Amino acid sequence: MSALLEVAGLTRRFGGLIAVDSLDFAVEPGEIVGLLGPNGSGKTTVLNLLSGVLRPDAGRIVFRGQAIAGSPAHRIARLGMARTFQLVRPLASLSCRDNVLAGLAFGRRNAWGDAARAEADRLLERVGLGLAGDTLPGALTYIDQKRLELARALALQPELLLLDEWLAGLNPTELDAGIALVRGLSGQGITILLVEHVMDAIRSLCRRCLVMNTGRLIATGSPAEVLADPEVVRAYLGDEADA
Amino acid sequence: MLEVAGLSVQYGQHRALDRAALSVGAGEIVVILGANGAGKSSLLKAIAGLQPPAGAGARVMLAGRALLGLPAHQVVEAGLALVPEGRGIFGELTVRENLLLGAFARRARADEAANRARVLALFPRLDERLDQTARTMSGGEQQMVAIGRALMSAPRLLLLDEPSLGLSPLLAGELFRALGHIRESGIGVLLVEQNARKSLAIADRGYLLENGRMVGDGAAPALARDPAVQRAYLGGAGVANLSS
Repeated sequence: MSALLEVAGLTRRFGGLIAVDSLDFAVEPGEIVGLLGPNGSGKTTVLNLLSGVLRPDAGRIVFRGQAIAGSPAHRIARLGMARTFQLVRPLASLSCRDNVLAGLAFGRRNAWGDAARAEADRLLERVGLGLAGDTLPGALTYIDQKRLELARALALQPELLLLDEWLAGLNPTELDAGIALVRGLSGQGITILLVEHVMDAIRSLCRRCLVMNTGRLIATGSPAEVLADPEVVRAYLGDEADA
Repeated sequence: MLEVAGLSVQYGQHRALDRAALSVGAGEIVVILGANGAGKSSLLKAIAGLQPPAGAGARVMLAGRALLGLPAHQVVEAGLALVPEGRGIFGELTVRENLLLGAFARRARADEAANRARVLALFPRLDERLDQTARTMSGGEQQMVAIGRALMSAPRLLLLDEPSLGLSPLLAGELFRALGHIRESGIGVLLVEQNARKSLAIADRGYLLENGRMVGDGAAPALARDPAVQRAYLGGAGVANLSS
């Protein structure tokens, strides 16, 4: 009956700037929800507050029935919330396999040894990095580093996955594959909240979108509804609706 | 103005770029299209001197001056500025300080005030945030700082690696319009961009890069109409949207 994630009155200031301003929303189990908004509207800050990278100044975050606002990131991760970063943060001195292994070992499963290594390779395969197990992340292209981050996030066996512009920078062919991958994750029961500027991806993946501007929600609804909203067009889309 | 010939890049056994050749004229926007991993970033890094070329016989000439082998600061002094993938701005410094550092090159010092005014006119958001610490800005705002910093060096040639990455549709549109204004001021622009639709719409010419090799080139409108280019880079819906 209850939402997987419930956010109420969520607020975060940076000095005089209110980056997130009394935000209320909920995510139901199984949803793929798009979080849209202009640059600087507070989207990544919301992901940082949810995942424990930042502490909120005010507000409530309830995940799987537990109040997690202000909890440390590792505790939130073990509760089942995983994320990727807009600017990738792989463990640079570890191979790709060991990056994923870190998620398996220190996440919810404490998996280790041959079975965990095999699972790490399976996850790398899943994101299209089947041959990169022994490679250092720095040798990968930027896009492949983002794939690696997804494999590491999946190693946590998350219930909720936060994707921060994970589909950015893909050409149309790669984008189709990326969309299919995200849809597949949803199909296996992972709930997804994604920050994304790629409208083709939003239209094809999300039944529901939240649109932020200057820290507040300005629209919610289906992609078609919010992308036709005059306020959203003015603040976010401009006349470039084909982007 | 920029002439590149025989430029190769090798990482261990992997040849990322194989004898690439291209040119960019003054006041011209040239776009490089290619899949991820095709060698686009390696090409820009090799032109900017951040990645040493493999093999002999490579040539990178900017306004008649050979750039290969020059240290990075002299490449900037020669008039080339790179906006790298991942932005590479100074996170602990303010927007104002990041821009000021862009004008460190001798060629740029005299015109610092005029260049700053031009950058702030292109990106009014930066004007509002001059004293903000750069790392506390959103990803898209940081991208504006990176482009602004490059323009502060008064470049003849601007290299941009995926500049629209992380920008909202509105800002991406403004960015491409800004590149048009930059071209009008006589600066050459060499652009790597996944947004093939928008980049071909503003570019004069384009090159196609596949597996490290240049496999085609042409005027931007012709490339946009090319069925093979549409299939590979425009996701089919290309032509209908190009006219906008």
